[in-house]
Amino acid sequence: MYRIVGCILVVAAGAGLGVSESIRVSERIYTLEMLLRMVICLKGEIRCGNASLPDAFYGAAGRMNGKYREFLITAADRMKARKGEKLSQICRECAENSLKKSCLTHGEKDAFFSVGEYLGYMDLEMQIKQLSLYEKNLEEEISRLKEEASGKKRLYRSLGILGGLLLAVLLV
Amino acid sequence: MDANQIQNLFASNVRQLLVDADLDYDKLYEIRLRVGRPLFLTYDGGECFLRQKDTEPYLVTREDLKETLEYVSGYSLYAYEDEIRQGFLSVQGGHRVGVTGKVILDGNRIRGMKYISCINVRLAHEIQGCAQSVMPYIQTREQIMHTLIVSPPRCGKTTLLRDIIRQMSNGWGNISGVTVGVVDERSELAGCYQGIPQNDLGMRTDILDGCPKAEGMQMLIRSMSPVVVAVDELGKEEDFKAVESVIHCGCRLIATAHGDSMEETLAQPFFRKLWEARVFQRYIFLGKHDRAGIVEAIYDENGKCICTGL
Repeated sequence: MYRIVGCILVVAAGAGLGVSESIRVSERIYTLEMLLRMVICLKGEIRCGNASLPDAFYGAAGRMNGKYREFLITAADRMKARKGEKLSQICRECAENSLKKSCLTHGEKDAFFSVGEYLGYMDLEMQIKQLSLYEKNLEEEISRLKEEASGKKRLYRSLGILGGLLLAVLLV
Repeated sequence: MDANQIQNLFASNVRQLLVDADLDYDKLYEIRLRVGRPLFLTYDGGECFLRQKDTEPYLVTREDLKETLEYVSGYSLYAYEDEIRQGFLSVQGGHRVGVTGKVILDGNRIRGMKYISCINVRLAHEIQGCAQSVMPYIQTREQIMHTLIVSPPRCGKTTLLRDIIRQMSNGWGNISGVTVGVVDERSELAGCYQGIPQNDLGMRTDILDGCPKAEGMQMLIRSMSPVVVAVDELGKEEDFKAVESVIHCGCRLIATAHGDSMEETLAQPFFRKLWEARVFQRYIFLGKHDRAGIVEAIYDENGKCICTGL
């Protein structure tokens, strides 16, 4: 009796792991989409209102929620405070604090953390182009992930169940 | 004046020197940074430079300038391209940051500036009440005089004009306030920062910020029906044409101009023309003294001195 219950639990745990991994794929896509939305808002603020970076960040924060809003407001506050920090340092630290627990890959996080390194330099067109470049990369990444998502999700779920079954057989 | 707000405009090295110097910011008028040169202050009527721990004067580096520009512009120099083309930008508190460097031309038009090698931070000093003594000469219950305030640079023209605007707008003594329209081409009068006046120009004052004087005066007359129009530093030909239109539509004009004396002012053809037409009813001359805003003399439209040494 105990063996059967144990086997069911092991299989259920394996399936759960698979499902949780497949949910992470959806979350990753959602996070990248939110970053894309944020970049679009920032671009709009800068292009249409010729806003300075702190104002563009505040403006975009009004259109965002949760940790994305928190990132924008914290970064803008620090820029306004003029405490002798570099812009790249402000953007990186605020982004790390807000998104360190996200399900983005290391590369995706690093790309986001380093956005500030290319802003504030030269003219308006340069800001728009820098943001457009990041926007394009995000779009490509989202579209690639979406294409792969259904296959990956199925794979994670199947692997979870099969892994659970294998472990149950081995334990029995 | 908020010392922190001013210190935070500067690069960390300069900021530290300002903190260590223990300055009275009400006596501080200018802070000049020139690459490879000492850090100059116009302070308490004189000039001084900051030293590092009582040794050699601190020499400003290119990095200091670059960093200062980052803070002054909120890491967004691109957003101030138009202002940089005019040679200055306004910051919170109504202070003005002048810049010089290598001008980039596009034909005859200034496109921008690179290799910025000098920054001059002019601190706005709002002295409420400084116009108290001149108000009876330019405004009575029945009449507001067309007035021209004349002085060399840094004698307090703008400070005096700012307080005249405030008093006319709020009312003073037993005289009621009137609607005042201000064309603040260089953001010095109201010191607008992101559209919000940093200086008090009164409760009945409408401000056109960053607008060329000639167009601004016309816009105000058309849209805001002011009783008084105030502008700083008349000088261009189109300004004088706009002055004529202000006067002919029944508004009263308060303006400032650079000049040392009546003779020198009238040597300028446009002022000569206005003088001959008896446009201005009051000429207020400020002098160079220990403190800004000292009135040397007030003349009427016939050139008769009606008051000295206020």
